[in-house]
Amino acid sequence: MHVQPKVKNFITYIGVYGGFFLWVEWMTRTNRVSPTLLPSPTQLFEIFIQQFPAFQQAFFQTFWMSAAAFVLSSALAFSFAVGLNQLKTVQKQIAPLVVFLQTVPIIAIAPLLVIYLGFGIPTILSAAFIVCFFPVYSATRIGLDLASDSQNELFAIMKASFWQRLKHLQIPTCIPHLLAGLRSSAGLSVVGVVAGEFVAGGGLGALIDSARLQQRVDIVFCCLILLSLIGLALVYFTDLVFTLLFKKYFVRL
Amino acid sequence: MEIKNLSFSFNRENFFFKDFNLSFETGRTTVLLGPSGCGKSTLLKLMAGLLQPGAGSFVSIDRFSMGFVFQDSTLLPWKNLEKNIMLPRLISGSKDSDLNLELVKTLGLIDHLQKYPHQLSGGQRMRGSLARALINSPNYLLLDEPFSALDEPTRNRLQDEWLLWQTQKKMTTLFVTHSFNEAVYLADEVVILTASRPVQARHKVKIVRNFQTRFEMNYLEQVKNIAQLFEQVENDRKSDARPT
Repeated sequence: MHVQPKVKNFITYIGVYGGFFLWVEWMTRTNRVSPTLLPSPTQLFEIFIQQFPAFQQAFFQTFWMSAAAFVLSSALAFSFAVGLNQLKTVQKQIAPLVVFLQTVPIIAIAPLLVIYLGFGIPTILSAAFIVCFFPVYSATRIGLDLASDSQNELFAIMKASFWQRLKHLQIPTCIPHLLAGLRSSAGLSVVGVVAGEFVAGGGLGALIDSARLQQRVDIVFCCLILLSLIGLALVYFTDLVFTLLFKKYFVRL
Repeated sequence: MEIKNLSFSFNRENFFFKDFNLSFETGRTTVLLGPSGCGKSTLLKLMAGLLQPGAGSFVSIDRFSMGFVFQDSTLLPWKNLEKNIMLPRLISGSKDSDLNLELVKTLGLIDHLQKYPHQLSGGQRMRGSLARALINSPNYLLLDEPFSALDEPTRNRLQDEWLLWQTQKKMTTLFVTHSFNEAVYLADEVVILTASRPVQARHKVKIVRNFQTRFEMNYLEQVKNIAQLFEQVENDRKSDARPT
């Protein structure tokens, strides 16, 4: 029997994740694992329904923060990388700063952000911005310089201006790399927002923090599932936009 | 098109070219032959302005009226063939947005204009690259081993088409190749460069175009002659490199 690849993929997903949930359910119901350490999927579902309004409010708060931080930082990182493309010396000078922002754990910077920016949205956005910036900046910076020698020579022969070269050669060459950076950034935006919410309050981050104090593992697990849904939504949205708008830029000879 | 007292070096110590002189006949095809690494492509890039010659060099070529064809087609994968061909006009800001249909028809591309490079064969891509170089009707054409990456039947067909085009248009053309057969088949004049430093134009041979196909004795004899001259250059290089 011939099965469409998409249907086959869907069946595989259901099989893998359904099987995993059934296995966890069996482990907890037969007391092989304590439900206080690993709650069963049915237990998670029950708590989710019970506290739906709180989860819903926190989910959308974290979702919009993640989306806003992702879009803002990506746009700025891309513009920054394009702007610095012709200023190689400046690019080299700021390289350590960019690496610093990427390597210092955001949870270590977040308390500083609260001191500087106070509780609330600015701190959350800034925390997410810091972690989202590097992947897009780095991918763009590398992608802009990846045109072949002969393509660069062709544009030199045609006497292309800086903008013409950027528009017709460098940015199109960069697009597949940009997608790789954006996918990383989409996932990291959720990490940054949760780190910000831990210290500045609000959203799923604050819900996880309060559940932690009450030893409510079930609430923490519900929040983790919702966070992964936010990450997936942002990554798939990015993929969709690129597939619809920039498909032709992914073809290589 | 003329080169006078050309000097160029990559490392400031050893001159690649020094007092190099070469002139090209207008409306004719000059083929540059030489051992690998002798500087054929470097010379072409110097003429195209991609490399800067040393002080005192004189390279007379109007770079705004020049077409250049690379070894690979260099078509941009994200633009369809029509947009690739029109790219020089787009970049030069030309108001003429009409495609040169005669050119496209001659090169057999009329049915493929909306296709993207990955949907074209190697020969069609190279034709596209030629069309792009010719779209602004340049006075000079520089070709850097344009057919070398193609299979033999496609290469022969493209050589025939190119010859037909050149017979009609008579463009001043500088063609780099490492094939004796291609050199004799396409050239009005063959220049053989030395591999020693600085590079010199060792032999300059006029091709007598008294053949119609590449299987005739008149053609084969000239190929043999070029091969012998090339062998001399190679032998000179070997004797230069031998320890004394």
